[in-house]
Amino acid sequence: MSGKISPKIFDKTCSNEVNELNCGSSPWAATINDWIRSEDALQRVRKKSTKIWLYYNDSAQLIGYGSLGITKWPIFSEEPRRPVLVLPNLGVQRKYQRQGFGKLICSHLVDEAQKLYLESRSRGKALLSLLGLLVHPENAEAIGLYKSAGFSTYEYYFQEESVRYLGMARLLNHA
Amino acid sequence: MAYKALRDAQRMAAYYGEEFTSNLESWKSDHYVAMRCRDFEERLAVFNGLLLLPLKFKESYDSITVEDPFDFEAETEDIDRRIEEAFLRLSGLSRRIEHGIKQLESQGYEVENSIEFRRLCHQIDEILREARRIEKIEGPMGFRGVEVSPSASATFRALLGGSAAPPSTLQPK
Repeated sequence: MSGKISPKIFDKTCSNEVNELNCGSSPWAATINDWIRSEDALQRVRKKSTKIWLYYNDSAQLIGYGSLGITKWPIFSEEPRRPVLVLPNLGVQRKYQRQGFGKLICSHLVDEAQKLYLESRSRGKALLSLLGLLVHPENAEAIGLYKSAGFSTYEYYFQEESVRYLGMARLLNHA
Repeated sequence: MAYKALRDAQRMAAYYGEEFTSNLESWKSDHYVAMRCRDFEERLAVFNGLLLLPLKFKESYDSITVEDPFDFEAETEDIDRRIEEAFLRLSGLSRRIEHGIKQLESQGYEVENSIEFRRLCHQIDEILREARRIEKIEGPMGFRGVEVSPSASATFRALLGGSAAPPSTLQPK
């Protein structure tokens, strides 16, 4: 059973804490494991285009991580791409899976996305009121988790080799 | 007798002359390659200096920290892609230059500045290797290559424009 989780902002000072992170061996888990240890993750954090949180349990053990980023998806095909918030990755360490931590992390990320969206609006930035994500089509657990957090599936996707990643999105509050 | 002496002298001169000409031709050939190598080394020194520039630029770019708390205007994907393309072009050029170095080395020359050149090429290869690794994982995360179908586009337009009630699952909590 999950308890409380404590988020901590990820940056280069705590990059060594994810060296042993293991969210499993499935194709999607490999992506989750790889990215947090990649130069890309640190660069995006440095450039403030992505926020990453590490989550710890009451015993200060690393449960997993979650992230929010900004990108430009072609939401409206006939218009220039507009910035939209995405949830690039959410991972729970294998030993803590199926204990409700994913739901807690997802909920925290949605709350943070909401705050970021409102902050951006107050600064006059033209951000779409959407939070989007891509998920591996065979990752039924993640799809279920995101659905429970208010995401719907849509026909936007990323095709890589034989995998057609599924697009999901949820609206964010305007006020 | 005088004729015999003259004939022997002619033979000796011809032999020496042939050997001398042959040596001269060999020297000419070596000299040409040596000069080419020297010219190559000088150009390589300049090219090394030019390679250093984008590498320094990349280092500075990677260390940038945007002041904004969360930069919604950042076009990092496009910029990163353009930087990668530039390094890819440099890598292609460097491979051709490396081929030239190997040709000179196979003829017994030690090409000055080649050690520095190879060190810089290694740095470029590392940048491209990391970029390929990132590209491989960026797609599934939604940073690259996402497409939206026309029907989804129309749905989003209606929802965001407020002209349609969002389905229950899309409604904010």
